[in-house]
Amino acid sequence: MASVATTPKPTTTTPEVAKKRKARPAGPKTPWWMWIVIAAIVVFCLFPFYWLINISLKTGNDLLSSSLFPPNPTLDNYRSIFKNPDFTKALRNSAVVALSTTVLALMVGSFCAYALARLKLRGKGVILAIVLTISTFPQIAIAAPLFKLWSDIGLFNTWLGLIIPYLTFALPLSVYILVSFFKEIPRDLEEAALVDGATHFQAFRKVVVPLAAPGLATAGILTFIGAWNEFLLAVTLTSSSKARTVPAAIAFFTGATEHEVAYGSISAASVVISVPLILLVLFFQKRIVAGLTAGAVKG
Amino acid sequence: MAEIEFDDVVKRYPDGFEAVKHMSLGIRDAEFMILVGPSGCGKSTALRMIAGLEDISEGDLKIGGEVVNDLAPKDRDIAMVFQNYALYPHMTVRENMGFALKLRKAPQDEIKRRVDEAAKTLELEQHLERKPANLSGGQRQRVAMGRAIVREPKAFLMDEPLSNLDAKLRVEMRAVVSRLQQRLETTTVYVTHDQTEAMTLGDRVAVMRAGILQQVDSPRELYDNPRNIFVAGFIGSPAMNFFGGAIDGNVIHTPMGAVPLVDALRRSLESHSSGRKDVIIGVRPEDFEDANFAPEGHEGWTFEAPIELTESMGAEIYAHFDFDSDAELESEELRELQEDAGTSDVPSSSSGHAVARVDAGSGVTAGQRTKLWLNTEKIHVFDPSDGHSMTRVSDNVGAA
Repeated sequence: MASVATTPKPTTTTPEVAKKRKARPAGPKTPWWMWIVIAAIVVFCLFPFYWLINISLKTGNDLLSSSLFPPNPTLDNYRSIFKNPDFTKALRNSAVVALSTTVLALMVGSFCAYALARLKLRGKGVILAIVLTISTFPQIAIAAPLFKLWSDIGLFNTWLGLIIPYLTFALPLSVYILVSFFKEIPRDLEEAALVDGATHFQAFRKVVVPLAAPGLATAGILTFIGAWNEFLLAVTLTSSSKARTVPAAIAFFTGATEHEVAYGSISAASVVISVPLILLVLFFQKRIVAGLTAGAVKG
Repeated sequence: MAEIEFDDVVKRYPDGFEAVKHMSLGIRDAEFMILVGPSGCGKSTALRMIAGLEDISEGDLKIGGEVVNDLAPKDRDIAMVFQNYALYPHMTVRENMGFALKLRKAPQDEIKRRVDEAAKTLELEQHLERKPANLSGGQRQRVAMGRAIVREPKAFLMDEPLSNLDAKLRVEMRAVVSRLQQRLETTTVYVTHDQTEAMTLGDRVAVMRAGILQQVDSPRELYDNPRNIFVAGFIGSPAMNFFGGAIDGNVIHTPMGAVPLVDALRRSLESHSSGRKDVIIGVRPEDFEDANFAPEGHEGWTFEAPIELTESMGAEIYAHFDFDSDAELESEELRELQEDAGTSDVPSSSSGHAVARVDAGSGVTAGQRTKLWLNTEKIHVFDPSDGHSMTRVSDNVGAA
């Protein structure tokens, strides 16, 4: 009998097979000492924050204790700051100012970045360099003149009075980030949209912006964090709880007497304003993961 | 449904480079027109001008009789398939295909109906809810086609739509494209650098080089009656063989000997010159044959040649042979043709070498001298000074 070469039957990819494939180690095993290094770094980074929480749970004489755990943990500090109208109003001010700054910076910034990324413009590099240079100016340089100017034109101690100067650092940042993201988007996609019947703006809004979402998220988070944490201008350009943001408001916290530093409530307030940032970053982490443009063009 | 007309169209870039030079071309309604040429010949630019993605520097472009020079792409009602498909990665296949209709504010149920219909035609039904990233190359290509056909546009523009597919899939998709165009009867302009696609797909083929339209004709006519050396060398695979020679009265001196001219050839040559004249001779590989297999009923010339190499294709054999060439083969056109093909520095592509396409039953072997037969009725003769064909029957470049 003549022997005939047989072709082995192809195995189909069942979930079990896929699992087995994935189970293969991706690289060399992490050595034990690496874990020690990692642990050290984590402790180094997170301990100050832990200590902040630690203090925020202590009142009275406990504040002087240096034990690793609060002897009598209490939420009194939190209760007191939320009863303090200066703090709650400051929270509202912070939210309004930071969100407005972010939204405006993303809107104006994306238009600007799109133009810089796509248009054949002479001196594009120079414009981009100038944009970046502006964001490096020390804020103290503009704080005093702005105080004078804002007082004269009635923007002192208003939300808008903070949003405008915040845009000076938020815009360059978002423009810079978005330019690189827009450049990555294949031009063919926009052209396809144009031929499909879209106006330039529709092509931008329905094709470019969704694809640059990771860039928008990154720029948005950085802008929000910057505006939320800003202290110098907030202190200089506000005078009451009408527009004062949380970082500035915390600086004016007083204890029972004028000379007592309110460590407890300051710590509690600091924890409270850190939480939105942590949530924000955790939430958007998935969006920042690249690979959204996969499959757009031939892979 | 519409005809497209280029009327003396020029595309000039700001640096003065002319990508398309005074192009006049009429594309009939429901016609499948191929623009073909080596890379950088201006074929894609011409296509993008129809789409409205490139400005027109001079001349008029008409779609359906209306000058569209200043019309935005969205107002031209044409669909385009891009080389890299340009699918919207954040949309599902269904959304991709329905995008144009959605922009046009078509009712939801109509969008659904038309997308389903197109998906059925292209066998994409089970992929409608997937994202482009999860599709294979062939599926993506079909989605790109689907995106064009759901619109029922005035014309399809295709920019090398098959060049990213592997060879087998390309052949399959070529048939799909062809069938689709015949069924929809939509004017189609198809850009490719692949002369096989050009020959198999088009009703008519426009050959371009360096921004200039060389010849517009049916594939058959391009093949049998090329207008100049460039077209002759570009169309056909393996390419036409060229060698230097001279006509002198009733004979044509070739490296294979002094071949008597057949009457038809002699008559068309007489109108060009009298007396002896140096020419470039072109012979297609299939117009050579093993002398033992020479077909009946054709005038021919038998000669002996040293076979240098044989390539068996199964159904036929490509026999490479050398010949002694005393006539220096010099032509600007030929040199450019070789440059375009990227073979200018390959020694065998210069004069002194030819390919014959002989019967599979032929016993040609490399290293031996074999008797070959040349079909003298099919000789092409070109004027070395301008590369024009001296044997071409009629001359109607660019006529609609």
